[in-house]
Amino acid sequence: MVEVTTVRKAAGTPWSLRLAAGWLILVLILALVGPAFAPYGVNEQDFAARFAPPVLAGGTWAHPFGTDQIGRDLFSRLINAIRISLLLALLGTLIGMVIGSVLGMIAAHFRGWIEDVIMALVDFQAALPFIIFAIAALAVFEAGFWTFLLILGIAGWERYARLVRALVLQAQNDGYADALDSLGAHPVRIYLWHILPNIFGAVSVQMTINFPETILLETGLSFLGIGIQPPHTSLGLLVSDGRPYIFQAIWLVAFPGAAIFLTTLSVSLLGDRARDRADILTRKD
Amino acid sequence: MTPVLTARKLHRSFRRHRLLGPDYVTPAVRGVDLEVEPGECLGIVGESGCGKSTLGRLLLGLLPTDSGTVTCLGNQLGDLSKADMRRLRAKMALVHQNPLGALDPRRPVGDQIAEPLLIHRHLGYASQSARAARKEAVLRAVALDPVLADRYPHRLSGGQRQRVVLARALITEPELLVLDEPVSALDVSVQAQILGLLKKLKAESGAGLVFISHDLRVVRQLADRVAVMYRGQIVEQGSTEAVLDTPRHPYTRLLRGAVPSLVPGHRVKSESRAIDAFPEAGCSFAPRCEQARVGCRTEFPVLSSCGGSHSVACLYAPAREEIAR
Repeated sequence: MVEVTTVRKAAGTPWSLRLAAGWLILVLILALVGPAFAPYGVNEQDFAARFAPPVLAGGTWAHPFGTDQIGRDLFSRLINAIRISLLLALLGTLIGMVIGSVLGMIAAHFRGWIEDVIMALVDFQAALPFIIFAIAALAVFEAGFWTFLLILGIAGWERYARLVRALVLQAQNDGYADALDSLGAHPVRIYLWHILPNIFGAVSVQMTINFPETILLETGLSFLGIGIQPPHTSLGLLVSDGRPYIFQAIWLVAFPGAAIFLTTLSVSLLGDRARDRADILTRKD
Repeated sequence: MTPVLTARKLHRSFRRHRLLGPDYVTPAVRGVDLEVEPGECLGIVGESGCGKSTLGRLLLGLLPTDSGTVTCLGNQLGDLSKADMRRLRAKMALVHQNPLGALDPRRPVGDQIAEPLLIHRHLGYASQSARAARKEAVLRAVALDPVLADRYPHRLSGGQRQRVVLARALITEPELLVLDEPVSALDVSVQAQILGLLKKLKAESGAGLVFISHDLRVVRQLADRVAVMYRGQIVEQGSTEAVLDTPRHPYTRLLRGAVPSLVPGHRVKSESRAIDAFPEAGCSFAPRCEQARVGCRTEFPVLSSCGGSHSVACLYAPAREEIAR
């Protein structure tokens, strides 16, 4: 046993995790400050340089990632797309977390028919192929940034609801919630001030699982043309725009595709790590 | 003196729904009457599952009654609004059996001790310094080192945790304290410390105490009066000496016989029969009772005085002289 632990310690953080963390930091910096430093505007055209290849494929440093069919700089578009896609995924995950957690708490607090109704909704949501629901919803409602964001948020709420309900029921069994109730604390105080900090670890692990899925959903819907609309851009929209020219200009699909792939993979890897750590913590007691 | 707590004809049962057939009904508390005066400690004893803890929760209004009334500090609990009930909780506290479970694992214990002052802002501890001063005072009262206030619950010993829970209960100066097996989870030396502390608190605070325990030795040390519960009913009640030294009810004598002692030749009376079903009529203890007669199976014994404040619910309670023998 002793040997095993020493070996583990010596190995340290695996290189895959270091790379994942590094990539995420880079992407975050790009999303935060990148657009200000982008060499060109999102829709700025350079007709002289249509389908310019990236630097390593014989292009010039004027357009390091190449240009598209109307001469827009892919590097500048990519930076803007990363910002929008990350923002949507982040806000979407947060919205799902808030909606799900609140409903989960309400279910666990009131029990009875309220819980039955909420859990029936959870099962309904879980049984629904979400992308079909999203297509229908976006077809009916006016497709705008906020509608789209709301739909991304709704995408994962049922899992938070289920998780939070179970955790709250467990916390009530632990006795500290009961003790606070007997001291006369208002339920809102018990939930926000005591139960929430205690269950936040598990909820944040769920968020790392949910986040890559939200990115994929966003890119998927944008690829189908019902998500982010031009003149704005997103990673999915870039892939969609580049698809007709895949044989002439593969970079139009390859760069945004790689960005999607690396970002979701990185978050998943780090989320796995976080989950392992949370499990160790729970195993200790 | 007006009692801090009066309970009249308390009934509470738990039902479990079944898909087919009638619900399972488990009566937990059946027709309990009791009173607690200020500065007095009422001990409630009985075997596990007899309804002691349910009774404790009913007395504090943490569990609704099926019927009967609880009057606490002049308020009838069932009539209060939720907000008034929460407000009243500053004056009535519960101390749990398991102190570790009763504390939030992610907050320093000092913050948790002072939290009731934030919950009950009407008590007037508005400033940080007023709260800190009050916290200092209760820490002294429960003899807890102020250094420990910055620690998390898992970094404290069992005895320290129980002191923390007591300090949190006492910080609002409650007039009624229900202690549900407060020392059962502690080892014997720590039990003695906590009991000493409780005795001191009882003498100093003037609060009414309800002390729930299965341990007769512990109850004897603290309680002024004792109520013995069997299957949700009080079968014997009176001063601690009267009930524990000259028990009139066969069940109290059985309980007392189950306490191990160091007298040579003394053997613990063990009883292997456990009866689950309630008898249809008559005394609920009759199926286990060695002295049960024909009348016990048909007639219901009512709690009635057998000399002074001592009362017993047994049709054929032996006379005092018989017990002394």
